[in-house]
Amino acid sequence: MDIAGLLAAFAADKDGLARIEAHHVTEPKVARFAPFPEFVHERLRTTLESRGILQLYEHQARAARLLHEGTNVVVATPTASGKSLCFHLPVLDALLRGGGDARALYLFPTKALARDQMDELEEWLRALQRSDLVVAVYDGDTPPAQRRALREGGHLVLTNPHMLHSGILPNHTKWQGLFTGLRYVVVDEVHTLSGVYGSHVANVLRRLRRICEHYGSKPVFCAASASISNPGEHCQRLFEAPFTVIDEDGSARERKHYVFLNPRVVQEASGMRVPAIDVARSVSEKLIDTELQTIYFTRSRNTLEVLLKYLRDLAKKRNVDQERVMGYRGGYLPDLRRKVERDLQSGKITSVVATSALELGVDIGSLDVCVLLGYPGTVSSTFQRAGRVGRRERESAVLFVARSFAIDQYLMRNPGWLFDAPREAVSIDPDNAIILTNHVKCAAFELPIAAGSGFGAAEHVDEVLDFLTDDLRVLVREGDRWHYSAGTYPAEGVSLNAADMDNVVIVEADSNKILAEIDRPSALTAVHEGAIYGHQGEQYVVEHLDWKNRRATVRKTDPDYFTEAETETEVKVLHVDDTKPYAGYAAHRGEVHVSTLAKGYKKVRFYTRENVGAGEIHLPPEEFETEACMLVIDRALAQEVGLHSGADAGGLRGVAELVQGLVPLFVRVDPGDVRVLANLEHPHFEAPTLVIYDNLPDGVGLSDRLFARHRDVLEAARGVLARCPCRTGCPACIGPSPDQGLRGKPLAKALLAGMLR
Amino acid sequence: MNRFRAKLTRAFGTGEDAKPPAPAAPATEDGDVLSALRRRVAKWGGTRLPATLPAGREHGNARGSFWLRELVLGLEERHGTRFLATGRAEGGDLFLDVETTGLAGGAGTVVFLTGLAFFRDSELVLEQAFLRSFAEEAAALHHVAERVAAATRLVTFVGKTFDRHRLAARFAIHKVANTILTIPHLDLYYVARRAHAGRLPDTKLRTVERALLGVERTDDLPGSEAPTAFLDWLRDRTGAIARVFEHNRLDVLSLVTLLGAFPPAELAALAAPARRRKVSGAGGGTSGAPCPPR
Repeated sequence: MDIAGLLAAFAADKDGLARIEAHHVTEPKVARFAPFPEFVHERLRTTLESRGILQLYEHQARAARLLHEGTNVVVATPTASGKSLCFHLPVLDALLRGGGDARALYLFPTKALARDQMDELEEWLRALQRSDLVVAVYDGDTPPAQRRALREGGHLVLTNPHMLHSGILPNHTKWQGLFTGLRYVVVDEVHTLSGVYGSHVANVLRRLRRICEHYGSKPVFCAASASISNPGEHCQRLFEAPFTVIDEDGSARERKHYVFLNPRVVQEASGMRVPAIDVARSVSEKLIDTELQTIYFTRSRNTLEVLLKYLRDLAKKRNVDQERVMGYRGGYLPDLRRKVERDLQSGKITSVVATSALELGVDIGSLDVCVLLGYPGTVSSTFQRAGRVGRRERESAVLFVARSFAIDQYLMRNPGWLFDAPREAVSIDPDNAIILTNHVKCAAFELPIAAGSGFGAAEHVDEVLDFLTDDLRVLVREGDRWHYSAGTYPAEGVSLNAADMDNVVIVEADSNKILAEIDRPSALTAVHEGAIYGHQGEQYVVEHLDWKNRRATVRKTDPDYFTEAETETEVKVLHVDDTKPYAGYAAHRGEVHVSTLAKGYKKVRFYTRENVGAGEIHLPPEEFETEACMLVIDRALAQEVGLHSGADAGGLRGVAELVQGLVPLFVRVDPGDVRVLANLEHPHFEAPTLVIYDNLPDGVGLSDRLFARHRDVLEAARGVLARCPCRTGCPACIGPSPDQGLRGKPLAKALLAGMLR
Repeated sequence: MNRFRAKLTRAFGTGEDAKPPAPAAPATEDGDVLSALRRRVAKWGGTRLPATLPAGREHGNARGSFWLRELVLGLEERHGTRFLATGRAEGGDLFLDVETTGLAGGAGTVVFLTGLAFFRDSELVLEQAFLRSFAEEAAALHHVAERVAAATRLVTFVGKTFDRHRLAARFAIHKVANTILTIPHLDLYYVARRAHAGRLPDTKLRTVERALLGVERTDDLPGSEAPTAFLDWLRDRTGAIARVFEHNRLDVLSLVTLLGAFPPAELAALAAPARRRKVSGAGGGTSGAPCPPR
């Protein structure tokens, strides 16, 4: 079967679980080639030619030439457009000519990407017959015995921002070769460096540039990014240097079909539809025994494992080798992930079920069919996933299967939106007071800071230095220089993102072998005692969870159900530091305690989704203290708009959802960095309350800024509501009416009007 | 008191470095938080006595000046039960022991006192190069580098993983040319381990010197308190800095006399010249095995 056959089969399938709402086709594109730039070293050129690469795509040649000339470049072309060659060419060229002294540093967001690129670079060096040049990954998995050799002799060092922050920069004197000879710094997937995390990384890069200056090197920066709306602006903020954007893709593409599949309504009253997973399963019946390589993207780990089980069951029925159907997600051990990547490239695997872990540039070759179970959440992410399919010589298809949720349904009705909407912008705030202070402290440890020398383009640096000196007493000022004077290692106390948190290992009881890992917050709902833990299509029951030692013991089983846990988030006010009254409400700024508790779980039967049991979860809550801004509605206003205890909370929830969506426009954060909760009767204030809090331990001052600017956000929310043509709420405003109730929208409007009086 | 500073105080006030008083009532003025924090911080310090450095002189060189204490000791003098003369071997040994601002390692750990000893004619010269301020570091390092360059062998206790690397890092930061990682090196910790591992409860310097040299220290400042003593000195010229000098002096003398206290065979086994390595630029860097107990 080919793509045309597949599409015909869908069209003919009138009684199927889903119907085609739209069919969008992107036309084929011929490649635009360019000759090798003149600078390319003879041996590099012949090696390329021996691999059958006789010319470059236009964007590759241009990027390589600009980088070689010393221009900072961000390459923002689609997945699989040959981005890595853009920077490998100038880097390898510099190494070939560098007499052993030239170095390059590559930063990847994940360990997997670093390993992937190491393999590729090693292959290059073998082909170039330069075994004297050393390429190596330096991360938490690098054996201590190898680290020293790598520090002294690594020409191409592949690492991640966290390792640069905590391992390399504070020990720069052990990396003198690297920093003295550093010619290129390559940062891959810069679109992932956003929000709080990106703000941290921008400061790590400020520290990197200081160290380079100390050793006299002036590296050229190269960034690679998914398609976002502001790659140039983002890189300029991230690196604080001018950047040239290359986003004209010169590679060839065959025709690609985007098919919008809407599951049938099963319950007219609630608008509930056939679950996307069931539609995906019926799609797989058409695909599983064909040669069309298919990738299924799910939004959660749990859905991945359930779908994988379904596909394995189907494969068995059709006598398809089980090895041809695999899963891929974070938490699988590195060896397993490498194997899946290799088997996808070689074509041994024909169906893979993945989470966002395969959204980044891990090389798996190009596949044929991509099935999206639900809208991935952003336009960029959607096209990153869609970019996994499409070969030069063969048509491909993206099947978007909608869920009942509002945003998915909106896209089914307005498919053009996906193609016309601007890509998301990525934004960071490197001068966030708290993040900046933490990194100035780390920087002073690395080298004394001279007055007036600044720290990147940060403002307030001298104030930060005075604060670190007078109040925290970790620096000493002598004349015009600040010296680090504490006995501690400052990078240890500064975490770039919450993902650094300790993992829980999952151990198979009989073999006592580690099966997988899971981050601690997810462990609450995934490996509590009694949970069914899916792994590569096999089911395991969690027999014991040793929370203290971060160890879950599981045993293989064959249940007819999976488990789903529910959590509840509670925000307690610790103290209020500042209050401002307004007409109709009061704004408070203070500290809160956030706790997320897994309450219990349901047993859900495979296929039928029947509820076949339940259990309790006894685990301590995940908790942290952070900053919050709280908007407490006056009694009078609540009465006036009809918001009172026991009433329909939809209006208030709707405002919370709107505010949460709009916050990134006013403070440079990721949507996940700030959370907004609606409380119809907040126990502390005993009134309807919106709690806006920094969604990370200790906070980084986001809600503090919102305390000052929240009226701008409310104003913007009112504008959105006023302009939205829907009657009772839709994903573009407060959320759909099934969620927020029929009174949700008018109530939200009245509430905002009252608050902004 | 500006708003930016107040924000920092709020945020970091909850950290371990500086616990602010739990606000009994909401603080409405930023100044309240900060002044309370300052009072609290001041209280920790208590009252400290003014410190004076042991006798020494300002010593100048191409990179500036620093505080140098020089002791010239007769070979008939004793350390514990042994004569200093017993530490004399062929060639030019340089005995070295450093005191640092912390044990965390990394580029920012500063060597604030370097104790050096070498034999000259019929004397033992013991030098202590001290930073009265960070500004004196380059000059002190320059002096140490010169002494190392003039020697034929370095003798330390756990210098293989600690002292040499702390100095190497600081040499690199101040771009002081040096041979600290290439000069032949004898680490007496490994000699002690080889010769006495089974016979002594451990092979820490305190244990070894007591057993082999009969050295009993009274009123010795624990090494872990040296960083605080240095910070007190830097900030307001108070604290126990003189006791750090004394602690370091005893460490260096133990190095000298231990050298003669080990059987020659044990020394020979470990005295092979250091691996020759190419050193790039000023300093060169290397790591070490995990640090043995110090």
